[in-house]
Amino acid sequence: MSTKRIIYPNDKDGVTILTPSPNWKGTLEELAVKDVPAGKPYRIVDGSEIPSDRTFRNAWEYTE
Amino acid sequence: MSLIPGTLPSGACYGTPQELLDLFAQYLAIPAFAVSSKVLYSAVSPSPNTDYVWVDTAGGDTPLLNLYNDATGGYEPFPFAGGVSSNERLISDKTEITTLDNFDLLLVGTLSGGSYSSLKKITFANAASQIPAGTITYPMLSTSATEADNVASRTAKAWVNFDGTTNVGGNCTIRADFNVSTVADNGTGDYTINFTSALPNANYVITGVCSLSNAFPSYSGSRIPYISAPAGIMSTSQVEIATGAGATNTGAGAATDVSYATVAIFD
Repeated sequence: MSTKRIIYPNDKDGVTILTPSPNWKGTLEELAVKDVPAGKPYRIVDGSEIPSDRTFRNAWEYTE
Repeated sequence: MSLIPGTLPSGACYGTPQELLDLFAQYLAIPAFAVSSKVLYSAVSPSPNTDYVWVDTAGGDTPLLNLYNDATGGYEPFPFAGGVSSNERLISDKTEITTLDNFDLLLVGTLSGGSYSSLKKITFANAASQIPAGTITYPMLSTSATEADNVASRTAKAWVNFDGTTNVGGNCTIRADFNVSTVADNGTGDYTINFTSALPNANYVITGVCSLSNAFPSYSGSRIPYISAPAGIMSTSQVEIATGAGATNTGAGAATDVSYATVAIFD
């Protein structure tokens, strides 16, 4: 089971974190092409890089 | 070609496999039966005078229609008393078979120049217990415009059970799903469900329940995921939902993360 996540900046001045389905058969790159809005930059990161404290979740920002 | 229900055909029975299939259905006085995924070999240019029909009924009952025996010039139950001749082989996937399941209908062609001219095997059942495993697939479900006959509309087009509070530590945020590629965490209590395969249209129905808010565990307000549309997204490829809790029926609510969000979509 993949622990990878796909992150991208959303239109709400925040960051969206995509969690892949365990049933996804393709690659993460294919998944990013499919589910990241067109034109948005994105990064594939390990889940451990994402903060566990969600107290200020809406204040998270996307950085390249 | 026509046949009065309840009567056997007289003489040779000619026709294409589909005509014979229709004739058989008419004979049994059943409106229709599905052609299963076990069609092994589609008919190829069937010759009208060499297509035979064989029906095997349960437990050695008298066959409803028999195989035409070239050797004797008549219809006989299979197997023939004198054995199967080279021209009347029952074949499955180009291999001769000598036994049939009790729900198999074979439309059998004859050997012609060393190859079978036509063959079509249709598996059907008159009881649920006789439906072979794996033969009913989604494309076979009825999409009839008649509500009572539409089976496809009764199935969920997508569903998911996910944890909206964690993205880390290798935890599977999506516990289980069908036709969901990703769940997007857009912020507190704000999620987008992306479909693996697009839905037929955007006029679908969403139903869902989530656990009590982690942030407001004592609140008794709304805990049901709500659709973010029209401000959010509700399209054939994704839907944005939100979870929240309200202190009172009239008080202000707050978006909150939930550890269990379950959503199903029907169309």
